[in-house]
Amino acid sequence: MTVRDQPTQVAETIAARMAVYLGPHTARIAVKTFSQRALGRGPDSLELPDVPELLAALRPMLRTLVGHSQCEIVLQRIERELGL
Amino acid sequence: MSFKRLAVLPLLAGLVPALIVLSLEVGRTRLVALRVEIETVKILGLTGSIIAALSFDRGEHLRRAWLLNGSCYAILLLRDLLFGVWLVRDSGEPSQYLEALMVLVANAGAVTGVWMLSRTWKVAGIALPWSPVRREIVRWIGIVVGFAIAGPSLWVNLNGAINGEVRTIVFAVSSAGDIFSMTLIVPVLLTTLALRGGLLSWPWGLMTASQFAWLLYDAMGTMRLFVHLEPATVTIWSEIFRAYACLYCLSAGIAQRVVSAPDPDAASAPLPKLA
Repeated sequence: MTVRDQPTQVAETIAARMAVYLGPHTARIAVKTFSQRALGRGPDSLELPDVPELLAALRPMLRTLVGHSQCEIVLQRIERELGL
Repeated sequence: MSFKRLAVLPLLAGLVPALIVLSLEVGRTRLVALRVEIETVKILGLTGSIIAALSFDRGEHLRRAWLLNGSCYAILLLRDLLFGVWLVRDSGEPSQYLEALMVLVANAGAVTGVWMLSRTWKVAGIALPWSPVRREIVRWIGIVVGFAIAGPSLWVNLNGAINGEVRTIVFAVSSAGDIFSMTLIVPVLLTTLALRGGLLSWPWGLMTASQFAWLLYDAMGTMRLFVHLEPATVTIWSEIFRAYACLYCLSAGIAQRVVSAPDPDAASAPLPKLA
């Protein structure tokens, strides 16, 4: 991973919150995969305005694994942590 | 709720069949005690499946998977109730057909449930660990182990099945289902590994333990075909593995419920440090 590929603080915050449930490795891969899928960019360029779209892309994955209620709590928590 | 407790308690509780066989003389009391133990663990397996299913909303993938898994326990319990109280197995063809049908539907439910669990990573869109080659190798190991354990039983029953004997058709289909289920342990295990370090690794790990215990339960049945074992030894080990399978299903259900419970405290737990 080059310096340019380093995930932004926003990406790290999202991955860290999801890591509570998914584990650090899968959480980080999920942020990478879904940010590329939803935004067409990697976590190295993720900024605050991208967050709503990324969280919307992550929602079905999280919902499948933890269920609707906990999923919404986790997503709200991420938004709060990012000051949204 | 301590997840570690959910992992350790079944190990201890699963030894009850050994205590029954070792402490009671061969006779009716031992039979009744074992029957009670078997039905109890099945009820607990069903309870675990329902608890896990209720963690998800109607129509969600894992709700259906857990309910299908639980349907196996429910139908087998109903079978035991019917044939323990009202019907006898040699009471004529209709009851034989009924039992065959129930076993068939129960197995279909379990296999479909585990198949859905094994596909969860794909439905969720998460990545499994390891390289595709390594995953393929492990998948083939699962298939070979599945055939090694349930294949002989399939082979034994195939002759009768070809001759149209209802019970052997059911046993053959059931063995084929077992082979399929065993091959599905690998993706469930890989999902557990993908989630390691996260809370979700607990329900998935405990469910893997449950599936692994079913594999050992089937292995006991196969071993009996090739090796002479004392009936008491077979009973002890078979029932220990059955108890482990059901109790780890209960533990997995409770763990899933704990992880999925809408608990803001859990969601705001300290963030793990991403290395």
